[in-house]
Amino acid sequence: MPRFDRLELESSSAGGPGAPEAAAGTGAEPRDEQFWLRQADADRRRGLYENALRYYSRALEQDKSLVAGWLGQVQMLVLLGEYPEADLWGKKALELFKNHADLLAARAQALCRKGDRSGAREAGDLSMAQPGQSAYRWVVRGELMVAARQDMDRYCFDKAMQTDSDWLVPYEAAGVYTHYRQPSKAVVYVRKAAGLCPDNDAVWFRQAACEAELGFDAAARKCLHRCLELSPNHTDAQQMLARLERRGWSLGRTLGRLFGR
Amino acid sequence: MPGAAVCGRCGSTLRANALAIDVHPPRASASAKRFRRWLPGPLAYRLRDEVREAGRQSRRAVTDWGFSAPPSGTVPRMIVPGWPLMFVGARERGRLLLGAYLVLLALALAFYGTVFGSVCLGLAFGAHVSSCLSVMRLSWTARGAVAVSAIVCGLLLFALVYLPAGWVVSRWATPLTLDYAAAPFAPGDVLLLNPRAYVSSPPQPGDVVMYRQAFRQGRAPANGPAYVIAEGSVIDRVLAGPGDTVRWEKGGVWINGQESPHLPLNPRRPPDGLKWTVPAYTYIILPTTSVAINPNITADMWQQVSLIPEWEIRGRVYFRTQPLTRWGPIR
Repeated sequence: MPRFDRLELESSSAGGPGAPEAAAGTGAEPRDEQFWLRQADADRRRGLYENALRYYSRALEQDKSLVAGWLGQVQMLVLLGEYPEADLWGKKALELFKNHADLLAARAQALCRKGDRSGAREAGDLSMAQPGQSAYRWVVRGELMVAARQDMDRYCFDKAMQTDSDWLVPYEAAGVYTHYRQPSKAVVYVRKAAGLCPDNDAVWFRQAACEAELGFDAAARKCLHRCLELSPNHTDAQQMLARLERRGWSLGRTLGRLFGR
Repeated sequence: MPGAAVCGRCGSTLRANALAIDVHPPRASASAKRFRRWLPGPLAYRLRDEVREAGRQSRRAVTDWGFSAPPSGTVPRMIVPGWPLMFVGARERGRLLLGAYLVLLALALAFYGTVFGSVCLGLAFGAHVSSCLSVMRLSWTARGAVAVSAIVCGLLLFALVYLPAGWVVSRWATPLTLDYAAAPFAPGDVLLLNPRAYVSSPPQPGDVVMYRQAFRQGRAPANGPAYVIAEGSVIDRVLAGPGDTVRWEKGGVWINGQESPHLPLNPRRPPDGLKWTVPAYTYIILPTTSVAINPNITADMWQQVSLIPEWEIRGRVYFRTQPLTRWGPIR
C-alpha cells in the first residue's frame, strides 16, 4: 500500500530487514543527528538502502551542516539506482560544501552510472585533487576505471582497502563489479568482506549472488545458508536458494560457461 | 574568521543550519526507473563526447596548421565589408573596400537581371570576402591559409548572408529579361515581377501582370477558321475583373457602360467590337504584347484568349530596370 510506505511506527519492532525502526524505537540514547547517522550506517551495512536514506534525511533535519548526511543521501540514491536524482542532489550538496572531496566522488559515481563518463571523469579528477585521503574516493576512482575498461581498477580498490580497513570497502568494491557484470572480480572482494565481517547477512547474500552468477551453485548455496542463519527471514535469500534448488543441468548454461557467454 | 558566512578556504557555507533548504532528496518513481532502462542515455552522452572530441581535435589541427582566431570583436563586424578593418585600425583600407563594395552593389542593383549586373554582384561579393580575409590574415601564418580561408569565408558569407538575402529579394523582385520585341517592350528589357503581389489580395484593373497563356486550338466562331495559340508567358494589363460587362470599342475600354482609364499595353492590336461578361475568378487581359497571337485572328478568337483565369496570373510586373533610358515604374 503506497499510502503507508512512509508511515513510521514506534512499536514496529519485528526485527529482520523489513523492520528498520526496531533499533530506533528502543534504547535510551538521545535521538540527535549522530544517532540517526548511526542508524543510517547500520542499515546501509545490512543492505537496507531505502531505510538508510530515510535516516540520513532525519539526521539532516536536525543538522543541515552534516556533510556525512548529504554524502550518505547521494550514495544511497546511487545504490538505489536513482542516478539523475543522485546527480542533482550531489550538485545541491556541492553548492553548500564546495569542492568537498567525497561529495565530488559521489557525484562522479552518479554521473558514471548515468553514462556521462566525461563528466564523471572530471568530477573524479577534481575529487582526487582535493587534499586528504578517503577510501570512497578510491572506490569511485576504481569504478571509473571499470566503466572505462581500464586495468587500474584493482589497484584503486586495493588502495581504498589500505586507506580504510572497514569491510564495507571491499563490499562496495564488489558492488561496483556486480553493477558492471564482472562477478569473477566481484567475488574476490566480497570474499574479503565476508572474511572481515562473517556475521553480516548482506555480505553472504552478495557473495551468494556472485558465486551463483559464476555457476558455483554449491558455494552459492553454502553462502545462502549462512545468510539465512544470520537472518532467517531474508526473503531474497530464500527465493534465491529455492531457485538454485530447482535449477538442474542446463545445456544453455553449460554452453554459456564453455564459450564465456 | 568569526562570523563569516562561508569558509575562507573552500567557500563552503558555514550557516547551513540557518538556510531554508529541503533535506529530502528527490525520488524516482518506479515507472520512471523502468522507463530509464529503455532510454539510450549512455549513448547520448557518448555521442556528445564524440562530438566534443572531434571539435577539440579539429581546433587543435587548425591551430597546429598556423591558424588562430581572428582578433576579438571582428567576427560580428564581418557582415559589413570594411568594418572589421576599420575596427582594427586599418581605416583607409576599410573605407576603400566599403566604398568599392557600395559602388559595385549599386551597379548590381541598377543592372539587376543582366549579365553585367551579375558580374557587379560577384565583384561586390569578392570585395566582401577580401574584407574578411584581410582581417583574418593578420593572425595567420600558415601556408595555404589564404586559399583555405577564402573558400571558408566565401562559403560562410554566401550561406549566411547572400543566399538568404537573395531569397528574400526574389520573393518581391524577380527579374524578367525579355528576348523578343513586342511593343511597348524591346529585346533586352529587364522587368521586375512581384510573385507575391496577389497572395493576399486579388488583381485590380490597371495592374500590369504576367500570366500563363495556355495552349489553345479551335475554331472561332464554331464553323470559322482554325487557330492555334502556343503556350507561354504574357505580360499585359488587367482591364476588368469578375462580374464586369466589358466592351472594347474605338481604342477604349468600357466597363459596365463607363469608359475605363486603363488600356492594354499595345492598344493598337485588338480589333473593335469585342464584348465580354466576365465570369467568376476570371479577368479580362487582352494579350496585346503576345507574340503567339497572329495579327489576323478574328474578334471571336480575341474574346476567347482574353479571358484569363485567376490562377494563371503569376504576379505583378511593376518596374523596368533596363535599359536605363526607360528605367522606371511600368504604368
